[in-house]
Amino acid sequence: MRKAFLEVKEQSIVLIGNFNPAIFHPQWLARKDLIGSADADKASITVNHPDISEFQLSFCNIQVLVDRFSITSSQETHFKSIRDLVINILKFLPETPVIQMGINLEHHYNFSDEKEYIQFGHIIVPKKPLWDSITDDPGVEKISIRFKQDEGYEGHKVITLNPSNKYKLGVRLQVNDHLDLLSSTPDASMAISLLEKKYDLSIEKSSQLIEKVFNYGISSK
Amino acid sequence: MESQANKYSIPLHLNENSSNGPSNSIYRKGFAKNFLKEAGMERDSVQTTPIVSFPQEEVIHHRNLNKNTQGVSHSLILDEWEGCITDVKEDTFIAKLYKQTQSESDLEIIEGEFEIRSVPEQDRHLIKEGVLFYWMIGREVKETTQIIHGDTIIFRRMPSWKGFDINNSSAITDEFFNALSGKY
Amino acid sequence: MSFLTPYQESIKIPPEPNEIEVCIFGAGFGEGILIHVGNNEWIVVDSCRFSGINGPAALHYLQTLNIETTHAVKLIVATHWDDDHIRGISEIVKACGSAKIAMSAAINDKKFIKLVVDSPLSKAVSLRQRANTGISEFNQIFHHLKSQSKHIDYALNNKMLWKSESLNSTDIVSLSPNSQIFEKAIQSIISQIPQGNVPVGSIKAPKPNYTSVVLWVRAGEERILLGADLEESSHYKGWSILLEDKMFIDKKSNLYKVAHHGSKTGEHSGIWTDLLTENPLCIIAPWTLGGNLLPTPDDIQRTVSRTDNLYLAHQFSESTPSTSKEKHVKRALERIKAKPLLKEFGMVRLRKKFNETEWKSECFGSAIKVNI
Repeated sequence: MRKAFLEVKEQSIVLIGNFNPAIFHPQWLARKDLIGSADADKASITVNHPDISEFQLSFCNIQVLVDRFSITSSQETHFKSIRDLVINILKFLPETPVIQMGINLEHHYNFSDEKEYIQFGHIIVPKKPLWDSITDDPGVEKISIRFKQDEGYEGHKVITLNPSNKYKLGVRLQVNDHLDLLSSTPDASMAISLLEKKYDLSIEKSSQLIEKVFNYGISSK
Repeated sequence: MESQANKYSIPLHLNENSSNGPSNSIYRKGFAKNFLKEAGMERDSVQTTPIVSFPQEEVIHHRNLNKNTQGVSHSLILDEWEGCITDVKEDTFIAKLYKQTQSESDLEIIEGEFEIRSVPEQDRHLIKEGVLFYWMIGREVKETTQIIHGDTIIFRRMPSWKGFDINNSSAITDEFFNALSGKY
Repeated sequence: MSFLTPYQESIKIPPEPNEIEVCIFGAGFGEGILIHVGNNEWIVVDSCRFSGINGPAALHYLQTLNIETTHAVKLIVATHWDDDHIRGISEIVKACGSAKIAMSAAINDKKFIKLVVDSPLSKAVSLRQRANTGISEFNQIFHHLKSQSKHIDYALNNKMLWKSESLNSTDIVSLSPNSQIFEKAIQSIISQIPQGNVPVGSIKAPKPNYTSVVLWVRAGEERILLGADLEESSHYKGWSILLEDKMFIDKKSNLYKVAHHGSKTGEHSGIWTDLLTENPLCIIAPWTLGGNLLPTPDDIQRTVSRTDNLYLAHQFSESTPSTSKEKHVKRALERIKAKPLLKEFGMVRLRKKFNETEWKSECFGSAIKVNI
């Protein structure tokens, strides 16, 4: 019997820079023809304020702070659309200084059996000999491993494992592909270029890495 | 072009409710920080992952469920193509479709005919020759855990040709023209 | 995986130094030509890919023959920028560092350069976007050549593109385009660019094809005519213009890559009377799009009335698209009446030693000799 199923994939793009949250509004996106008018009309706006703007479209959530822009989607059919949307937004705001970028992928796996769920944690983070000897009933709360960024890019990658917030016996595996955008001109051009060239590869590599870790964890011992 | 300069301008919907300008209670410093904190989200450092909440209340609620699976609405792709419209007829359009695979050895190009009514009404004005779209075949899982299989067309909303003048050369154009002609 | 695997024994044998070889690849939607002119000197004309292999067909074949491509390939010609003639050519350019690169002189224009390197389309084109193959491939070639400080040899009528210095002297000469159509060619490309608030999408290569480069190969005593996609119509008398001024043509050709996929618009009686010997060896690379197939049965009939030696680089079959086994994927493909464009491998290979009279022909994959 299969031990666990991949239930949800979530993709996000996070930009660190300098933003004006107040202008980020579904109607603004529709006026620029970056989303459909029906999408804008049906959007759910949590807040629109000079310091923070947050709203949900049918296919993604957008949150903008003065120093951070974030877009998240759990609709795999729209993973490329959110990339296009970010590129288009930055092309309309080319002077936006973006200094860091994160392309993040997370998978939520749902275990059918509690024993298998616990065993998964034990395989990824062995409790013997250390944790069992110094604590009672240790379990994985969160573990992150940092490693090198791909050649030719500045930054690093981090893979994180923790319990899922979507499923009772769920595991969340996330890869943060963090890029430092070192450019002589502080604007959006490098971010646009990286999204055009690296996004697809980033998702593919992150997906492979997550699957490797997951498959290792569910292998029988 | 939108400007970043007017950082603290009053958003329209707040202005409507205020006769004398913005309310001090809304404009107090640290509004965003308090807002996020109240929503259960915290930022621990400058990092490029989204700010999400893991409120304990939600986890406890999960444990009360009989089933393991909470109803989480999401979609997963089984097959993915990039399409380019080659012909538009009365009720249908024809497109060349390129399979979205990373490996060139799996390259597939097909041609298909799509019904215009299968495109959301808000996107039908985009149906023109040369327009690009994604065609995804997959499954959608509703919050009720019902699984629906289907396919969807998502038009690529690209920047437009507006303002582009092919007759005006640019520095980059001149550079390439000279280089490729052998005039350095 | 190699498309050449079932034919391992015969196909892997490279040509001898004193042997000419002409390979025509046909992919259904795509064609490419590879010529060995002797002494391990190779010429690439256009490019295509096959479903199931990595890389462009010509490069894959050369690698299978263990030919070191950096120095062996002497000339790469992109006859025009239609998707079906150019897929993978930038990869060939990068792999063949010593090769001269030739393109139609009709695109030696700042407007075309701007479209390729500094337009909303060039900015929207990403490496993995496949729908804009022509512009994408040219974009990559232009950037690569500039970074290597290499220039393009612009082909026009009666221009020597490359000359071999080996014993069996070989010339590659371009017979078109003629400078009188350059302005028309650029205008026809520009007319495809949408105006105003239209999202960037794919640019259609205009018809008729004003920019197409016809090549004349002189290898020892052999003469080979490669017709590219040159057309003859009321809008553009491409072949008539070519036939008026053929100063390099000293002898008729006995091998002809038929123009424009064997179509009626690629036809001109003067080709058969002025440029070709009696009963020449002819190869057509078929084409399909939008439910249209070339050559049509009438086209084949017309061509076989001119020659007994007609080959098709690919034969269309009723193959079903996609290797996916997933039933929901299959159903979705059936709903849109999906037809494959990129097909299985097909190749016609012709070889002849310099002192021989007859070509030796071989058909691989879906390529066939048309039975009269």
